[in-house]
Amino acid sequence: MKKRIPAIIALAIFLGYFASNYSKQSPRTEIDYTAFGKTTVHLNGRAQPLDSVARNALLSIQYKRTIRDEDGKKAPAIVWLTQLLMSPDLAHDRPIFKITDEDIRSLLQLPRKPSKRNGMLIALLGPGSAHFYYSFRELAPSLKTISEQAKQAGELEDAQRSRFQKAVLQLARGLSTYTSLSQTLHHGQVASFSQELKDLESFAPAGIDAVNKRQLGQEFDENDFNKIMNIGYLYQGFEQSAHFLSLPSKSESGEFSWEKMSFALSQILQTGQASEVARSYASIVDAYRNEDATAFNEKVRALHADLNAIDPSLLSHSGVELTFNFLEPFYIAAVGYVMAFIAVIISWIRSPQRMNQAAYWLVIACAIIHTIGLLFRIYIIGYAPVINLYSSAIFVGWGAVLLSLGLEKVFKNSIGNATASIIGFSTLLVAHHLSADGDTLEMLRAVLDNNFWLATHVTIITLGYSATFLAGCIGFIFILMSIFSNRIDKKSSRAFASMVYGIVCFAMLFSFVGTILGGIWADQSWGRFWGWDPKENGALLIVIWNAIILHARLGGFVRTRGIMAMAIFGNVVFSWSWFGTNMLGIGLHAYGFMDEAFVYLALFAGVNALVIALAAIPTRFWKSQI
Amino acid sequence: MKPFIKFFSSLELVIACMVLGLVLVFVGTIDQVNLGIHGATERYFYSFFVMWKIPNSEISIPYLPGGYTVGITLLVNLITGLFVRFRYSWKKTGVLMIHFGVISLLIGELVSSMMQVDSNMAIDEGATVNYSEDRTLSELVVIDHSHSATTDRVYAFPKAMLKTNHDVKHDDLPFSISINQFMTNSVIQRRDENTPAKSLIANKDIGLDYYAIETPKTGKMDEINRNTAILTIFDSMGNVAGTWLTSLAFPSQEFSFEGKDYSLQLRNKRYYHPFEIKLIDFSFDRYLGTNIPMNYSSMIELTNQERGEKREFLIYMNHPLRYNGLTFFQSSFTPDELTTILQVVSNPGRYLPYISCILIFVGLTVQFGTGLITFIGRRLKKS
Repeated sequence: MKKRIPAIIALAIFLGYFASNYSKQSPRTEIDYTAFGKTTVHLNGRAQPLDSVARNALLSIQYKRTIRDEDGKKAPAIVWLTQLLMSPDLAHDRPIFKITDEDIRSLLQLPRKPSKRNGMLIALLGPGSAHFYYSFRELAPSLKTISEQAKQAGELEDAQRSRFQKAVLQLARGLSTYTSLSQTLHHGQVASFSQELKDLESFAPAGIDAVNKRQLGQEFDENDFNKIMNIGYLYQGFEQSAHFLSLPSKSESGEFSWEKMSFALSQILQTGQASEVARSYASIVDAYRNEDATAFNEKVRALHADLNAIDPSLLSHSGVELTFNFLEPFYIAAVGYVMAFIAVIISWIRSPQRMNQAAYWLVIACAIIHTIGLLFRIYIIGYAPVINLYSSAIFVGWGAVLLSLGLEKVFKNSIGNATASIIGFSTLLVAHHLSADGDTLEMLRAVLDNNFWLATHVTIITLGYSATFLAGCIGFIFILMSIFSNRIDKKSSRAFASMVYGIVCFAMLFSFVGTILGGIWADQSWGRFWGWDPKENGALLIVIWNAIILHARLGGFVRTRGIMAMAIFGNVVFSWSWFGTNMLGIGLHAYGFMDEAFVYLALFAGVNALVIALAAIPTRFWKSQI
Repeated sequence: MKPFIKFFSSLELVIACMVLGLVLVFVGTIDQVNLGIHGATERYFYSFFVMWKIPNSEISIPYLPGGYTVGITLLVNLITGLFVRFRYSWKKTGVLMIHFGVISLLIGELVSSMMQVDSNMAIDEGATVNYSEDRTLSELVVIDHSHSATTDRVYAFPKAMLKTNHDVKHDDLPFSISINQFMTNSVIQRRDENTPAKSLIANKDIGLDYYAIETPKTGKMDEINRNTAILTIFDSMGNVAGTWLTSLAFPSQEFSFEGKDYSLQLRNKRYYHPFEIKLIDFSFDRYLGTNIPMNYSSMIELTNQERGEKREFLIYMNHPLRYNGLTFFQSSFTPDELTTILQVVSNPGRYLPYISCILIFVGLTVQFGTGLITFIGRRLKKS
C-alpha cells in the first residue's frame, strides 16, 4: 500500500485539477451563460453551440479562450460574446485585440500599456516580444488605415508579404469578425428588438399595400412606402454583416435550412409574423439590455423550447459539443503529461519504483482523457479522427502515447513513461498553436470528403508518423542519458535497442501500408496511383528511412549507437513530412500552409542534428558504458 | 560474372539505392517550388540522370542518378538478391512477400511513368464530345473542307515535328509548311508602333493584329505552356502563299489555296474515343453559408454506337467513371459553372499497386507479428 501512495496522490491532484477546471467553465453570475452558450447556431458549414462560436472567435482575435473581466477575474468567452452580440457598445471597451507588431502600433499611434508581465518579457526577450491588448474603441479611429493596409497586403501572395503585412491582415480579419458579430443578432439601430418586431408586424400590411399600389401605378401612401423601403435597406445591411445563421427550419424531407436573423423581416412580410425563434432571440436581447437576468434566463429556456420544437437533435448535438468545450480534454491531458514528466524526472533522481508508478498511472489517466477528446471530435463532426493538421497533431500524440504505454508495460524501465509524457505534451502544444485560426472542427473540402479513406489511409499513416517520432524520441533519450549519466549499462542498452527496433518495425508497417493505401485512394478517385505530390513524397521518405534503418541493422552495418542515431534522424524526416511539405504550399495535400512554423521546424531539426553529432563522440568518453 | 552478381545482389547496394532515393525524393520535392510538380517529376523521377547545366554554357553534367537509375538498380538488386542471397525457409515467408510487393510496386510505377496518358475533356452543358485533349502536347492541324460534301479531312502534325526552321508536308496536301519559329511558351500581344520589326513577319489573318514573344517554359500545375508557331506556306513551285501566326491561344484560321478552302490551327493534341459523352448537368455544392466546396459533380450520358450502349452516369468527387480502360474524374470547371472539365487517365499499370498493397501488408504483418510474438513469449518466460 505504501508503495502506491505517490501514485494515489498524483492522480488525486490531477483529477482535482480536472474537476476544478470544469467547474470554472460556468461563471457564477445571475445570467445563465451556460444555458445561452448551448444555443445552436450555424457557422462554417455546421451547426454548433454559441459557446464554440465565442471560443473560436475570441481565440482568433485575442489568442486566448478566456477574457479578463473588469475586476480582473477570468471569465469564459461566452460572457464576452453575449455582450458583443447584444450590447456592442459595452463590449467595445474590452481590450481584446492583441497586437504584437511594433510597426502596427506606431502606424496607428497606439500607446504602450505598461504592465508588470510585459516589463519582464521585454527585459528577457527584447522589445519586440511585448504584446499589448487594445479595445475596439481604441482602434476605431484607425479602421480606415487598417483596411487600406490590409487591402494592399491582400493583393500580394502570402509568401511575398512582410511580417508587418501579415500582422495587418490578421488584425483586419479579427476586426471584421468582431464587427460582423456585433451585428449578427440585432442591427442595434433601435433599443428594443421585441418592440421593433411588433411594430414591423403591425406595419407590414400597410407597407406591402403601398409597394403594390405603386407598382400598379395607383395612388399610394408615400410615407408608408418610404418607411418600408428604409426598413428594407436597414435589413439588407443587417443581412450582409451577420456572422452566423441563427434561424433554423426543417423541411418536410427532414433537411435543415438556416437563415440569418434578418430573415425575420421576410417572415413578417410573407406570413405576417416573425418565427418563434426570432421572437425569443429578440426578447433575450431586450432582457440583456435591460439587465434583467431573470427574464434573460426565462427567455433562453423559451428559445430552447422553440429549437426543440423544430428538432430535439439540434440542442442535444450542441450540448455534446458544449460538454466537450467544458471538459477541455486536450488542455487537461497536456497538463497531465507535464505532471507525468515531472514524476519521471523525480523517479530518475530518487525513489525510482514509486514515482515511476505514479508517472505510469498519470499517463494512463491522460491517455484516457486524450481518447475521450478524440471520441468527442469524431462524434461532433462525424468524420474519422484526422481531418486537418490540427487533428493530425492530436492523433500523432495519441498514437505515440499508446505505443509508449505498451513499451512501459513490457519493459518497465520508465522510458515509455518519459516518451509518452514528452510526445503527449509536445504534440498537444503544437496542436494548440495550430488552432489559433479558429474552428478546428471544420467541414471537409470535397476532395477529402470520404470517411472510408480517411479512416484507413489517413489514420494508418498518421500512426506510422507517431511510431517514427516515438523511435526518434527513444534514441534521443538514450544518447543523452548514456553520454551525460551513468544510468545505462549493457543490459538496459539492449532493452533500448529492442524498443527502438520494435517501434521502427511498427513504423515501417504503418507508414508503408498507409502510403500505398493513399495511392489506392488516389487511383480510385483520380485514376492515378502516385503523383509525386510533396505530401506523398514526404510519406515515401519516412518509408525509405525506416527501411534503411532495418536493412542497416540486418546487414550489421550499425549497432545500438548507430541505430539510435538513425532513429533520431527519423525525427527530422518525420518533421519534414508532417510539416515541411505543407510549407511548400503546392499539391493536393497543401491543406495547412504555415510559415512561422518554419523557424520551429528548423530548430527541431537542428536540435536533433546536434544530438546525432553528440552520438558520434567515441563511447570511451561517455559516462555510461553501453 | 560472379563479382557482378555479388555486387548487384549486395545489401550495401540496397542501402545505397535507398539513400540515393531519399536524397532524390527530397531534392525533387524542394525543386517542385520552382519547376512545378510535373516539371520536377520529369527532371528528377522520370529520368536516368539529373543534369546540372553549367551557368552561361551549353554543357550539362549529371550530378545525381535519376529515378529510373535508382529504381531499376533497386529492381535488379531485389530480383538477383532473391536468387543469390535469399535462403528460403518458412520463417522468411513474410520477407519474401514484402520483397515481391516492392518489386510489383516498382514495376507498376515504371509502367505508369512510361504508359500513363493524361488528357482533359471539357464539355459544355448540353454539348456532346468524343475526344479529350492533352494539355502538354500540341499539334498543328490543317483541315481540308472541300474533301467531300459531308466530311472534312484533318491532317495533324504532332508537336515533335514542329521545330524552328523545319518543313512539314503531307503527300495529299498541295502545299508544304515551313516552321519559321516554334515557341514552347509565349505571350501574345497586340501589334502597335512599339512592336519590334522582327516580330512583324506574319502577314495573314490574326498575325496582322497580334505578335508573340517567347517566354520560358513552365511545369507548374496551374500554368500552361502556350505553344505558338509562325509558319509559312509554299506551293509546289516554292512560291510563298503567306505567313501565319498560330497559337494555342487562337481559334482556327481559314484560307483558300488553289481554289480550295482550308483551315489552320495549332491546338492541343486530341485523342478521339469510340464513344461520346454528353454533359447533362454540372453542379457545384457548397456548405451552407460558406464558400467551402462540398461536392462537384457532372451528370453525363455516355453513348457508344458501336456497342449500342447508352447510359447515364454521375461523376463526382471520389467517384470517377471507368470505361474502356479509361478513368474519367471530376477535375475542374469553368467559373460560370456551365462547363465541366473531366480528367481522362489511361494507366495500364494501375492494378499492380493493389497486389503490392496486399503482399506488403500481409508480409509485414507476418514478419513483425511473429517477431513480436516470440519476443513477448521470451519476456514472459523470463518473468
